[in-house]
Amino acid sequence: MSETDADTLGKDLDYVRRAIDRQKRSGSPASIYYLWAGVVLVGFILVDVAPWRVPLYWAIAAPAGFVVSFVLGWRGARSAGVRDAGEGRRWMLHWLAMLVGSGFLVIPVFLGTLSWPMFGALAILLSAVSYFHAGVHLDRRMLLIGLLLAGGYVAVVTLAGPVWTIVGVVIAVALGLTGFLAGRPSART
Amino acid sequence: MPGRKKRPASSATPGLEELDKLLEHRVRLAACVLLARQEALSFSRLKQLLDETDGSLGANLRRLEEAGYLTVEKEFVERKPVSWYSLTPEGRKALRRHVAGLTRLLDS
Repeated sequence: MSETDADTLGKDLDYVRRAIDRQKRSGSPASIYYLWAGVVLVGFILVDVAPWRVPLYWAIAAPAGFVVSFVLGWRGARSAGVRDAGEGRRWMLHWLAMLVGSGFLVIPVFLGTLSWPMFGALAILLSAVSYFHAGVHLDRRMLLIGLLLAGGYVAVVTLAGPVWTIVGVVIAVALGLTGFLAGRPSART
Repeated sequence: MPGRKKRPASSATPGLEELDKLLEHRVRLAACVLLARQEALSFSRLKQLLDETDGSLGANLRRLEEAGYLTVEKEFVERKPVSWYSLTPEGRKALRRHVAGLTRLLDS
């Protein structure tokens, strides 16, 4: 192979690599981040101001949010020009695992061996692990959310006062900011 | 095998005979690589990812379609016409052969 051919081949492969990099950069649509920012903000504040409403709130908001997220993700992907049922299934199974896991966590509460506050803390920890894994395998933007949720878990089990509200605001702002950054045109290419 | 353009087997450089003439063009190669990673991409999405003009991309995708490497499906998304491109099994095989050839070429 001549030097010119090698140079041309190198440039062509760089071109392909750049296209792949652009493809990797796209992730969840902004609307999903905004949805969960709202759900988390309300759900966490409720723990401090009206704790008796929390179980019913999350019993409805979590599965409803899951379904709405799936629809938003599907529509967002099609709108962005991507059709991939396999990828959609991966996302769905990932979050379904978190939803089902949280459901299993309720069992010891009904058996009387786990308190509701501790259930809430463990649910945050499960969310932290889920977001972190999503950041590793699906969308890098979720890594920071995972880390913040882990910090939130430590805060709610060690600190007193309106900790849940503070953690909720921090997570909601992080989700909202991630959604804002995801929605920018440069983020979609 | 439609579209497959083979090189003479007597080539001295390893990997050269496995290269597909159609995929030697970087736009066509990149389009196939992107479509190997996802089930289907729209024309607009491919244009965004490849940073090409409508004319250039359209011509290259048409050649791949004529060779049997891509299929096109047209539908309406949010009331706008969209063309969805997918790699065929023939296209995947051609891409695998071409990448194997490139790997051997670069290793030699």
